[in-house]
Amino acid sequence: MHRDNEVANAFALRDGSNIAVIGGGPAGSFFSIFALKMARMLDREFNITIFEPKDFTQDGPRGCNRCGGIISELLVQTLAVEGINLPDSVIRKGIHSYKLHTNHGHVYIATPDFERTIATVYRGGGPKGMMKEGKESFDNFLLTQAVKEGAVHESLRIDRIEYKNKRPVLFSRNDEIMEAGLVVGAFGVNSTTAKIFEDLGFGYKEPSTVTAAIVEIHMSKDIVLKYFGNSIHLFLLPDRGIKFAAMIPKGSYVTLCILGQNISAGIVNDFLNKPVVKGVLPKTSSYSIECRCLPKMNIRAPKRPFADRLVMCGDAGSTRLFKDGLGAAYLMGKAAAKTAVFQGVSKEHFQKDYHPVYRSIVIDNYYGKYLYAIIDICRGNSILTKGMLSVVRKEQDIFFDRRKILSSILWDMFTGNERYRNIFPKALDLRTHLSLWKESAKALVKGEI
Amino acid sequence: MKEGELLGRSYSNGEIIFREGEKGEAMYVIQAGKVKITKSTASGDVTIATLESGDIFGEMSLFDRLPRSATATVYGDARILSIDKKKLFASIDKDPTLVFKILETMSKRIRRLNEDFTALKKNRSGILKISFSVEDTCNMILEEARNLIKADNGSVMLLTDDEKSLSIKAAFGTEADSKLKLAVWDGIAGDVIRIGRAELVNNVTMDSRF
Repeated sequence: MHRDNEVANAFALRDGSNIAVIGGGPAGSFFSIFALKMARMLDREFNITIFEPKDFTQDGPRGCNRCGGIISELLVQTLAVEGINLPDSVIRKGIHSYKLHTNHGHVYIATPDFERTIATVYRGGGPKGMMKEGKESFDNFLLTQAVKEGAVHESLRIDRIEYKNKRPVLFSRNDEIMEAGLVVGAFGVNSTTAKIFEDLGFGYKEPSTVTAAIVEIHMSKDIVLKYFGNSIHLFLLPDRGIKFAAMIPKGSYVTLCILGQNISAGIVNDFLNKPVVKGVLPKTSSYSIECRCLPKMNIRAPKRPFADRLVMCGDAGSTRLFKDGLGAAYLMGKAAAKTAVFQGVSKEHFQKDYHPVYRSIVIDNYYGKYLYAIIDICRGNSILTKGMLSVVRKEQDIFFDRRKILSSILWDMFTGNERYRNIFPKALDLRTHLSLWKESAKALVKGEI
Repeated sequence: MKEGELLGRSYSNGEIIFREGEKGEAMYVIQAGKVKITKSTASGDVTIATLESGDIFGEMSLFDRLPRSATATVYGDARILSIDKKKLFASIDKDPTLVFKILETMSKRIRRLNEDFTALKKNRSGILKISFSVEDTCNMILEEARNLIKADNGSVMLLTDDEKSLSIKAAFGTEADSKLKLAVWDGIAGDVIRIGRAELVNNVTMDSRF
């Protein structure tokens, strides 16, 4: 599959090569951090420039990256092993449990020993006025780490890329900025940058998206602590358009994330007026809605995420369906860095070493779609919802973790702690199915649990 | 922000995270505070290291599958993040480069131990050179032996000039009597002198030569 060795060698990055990273979000920063660390291990030197016009130190819309801001247990731990420790200044809240709300009651699923293993963060400076609290945004933290490793951050918007002598050349407002040995497309689906890469004609198409909703609800820290504690509140309700919604505590704010098919402002208002949602929130005079937006979410990855001297990662490529986008950014950013540093930057190199990781996320999302279909059936049927709640409640009294199958499925599904593919076999567990049907039958006979 | 709202599990001063000899099922990353790593010896606990925020510990047992080699105790209040062995190995299986940082940490520790070991060796030979007193040298030998073997009593004996008896030059324990002299061929010590080979006796009361 490789072109001859001579051509393949021509695509090995040489010392002093320029690498342009378009987008300074997590995927771009992870790529830069790992590429520079790995290059140093090999006594190599690359010039990495991250082009990011957005200022993540700003609160309000100027610094916002429109995200729920949950860092899964797996990613928190993986980053710690990588030596990227999330400082206290970045963490808005450590999470040890999920409270699952339905129209028929709620259940509580917690980590062993209530260890706070999940982090909530703001990708930008948070809602307006938040910077006064002396906190740092997650994206700014990662970008700073990349700069500490040796990357250069340029607050420039790249608006055109052209190939000259088979090498990509970057332009901003018609000024030639640099010729690059490699361009990394690490922009989000809410930017207009995808068009630049579509115009290059290598077959890249902007990822398919749906509209989600993010609402920032302001209340006092004490009220957040009293009503939400260290738990993310998850809502599985029988609404057609809403897959699920989550209320994510962050200091003096709670971020409401509604995920589903093309969420609109009307759906957000309806959701906030549901009795089960009102039951979770404090009285209306205790909170205010500071801002809301309807960002796009990547639900289908583009088929051609690379070409010679060009690779797409993060939301511009493949990401996890409805969860753990930051985990996917880490995986993609690191996989692209490994390929570029250890192998090379031809499309064959990316096909051989980067595409398997990229493809694994695409395939994983097929499992995710199947699992969400099962959850859709459960949340749409009151008897099954009651059965599910009853099984999870009973599992919480079991000492051995390995027997808490349904709790583990729900935990892994919504925390992003596990790949969908690894959750799938648990969903086939016969004993759990029997328990679910037994408890559902009980609910049907009694009319309640 | 209150401690209880940040990442990890909160520990109080003196709380033990794991003990020497226990099975290791997790490694740890310090989020805030300090952790003391101590190893028990016959003469008391020795602090090997004091670790701080960002440091990892407890990784050795995960890789060599041997019991914990030391005890980890919280020094002041601390917040620690645990990383489960199974999850870590599953992640390493998917991405082997994940061990780079752990290897780097272990390499740094081995390098530091090499330096400590070299310094210790230098110091010891220095101490021996400046110890003109036979009693001091014997006491030092006995102290080193105590660090290696847990014992209730112990002594170092030397042959007297006439080579007819053994005199105690250093001793510890309830039965220590530095004025005692033993006939050269008597008891366990006599056997060791005669055969010329070291012997480890776990229970002297069960030994007919005692």
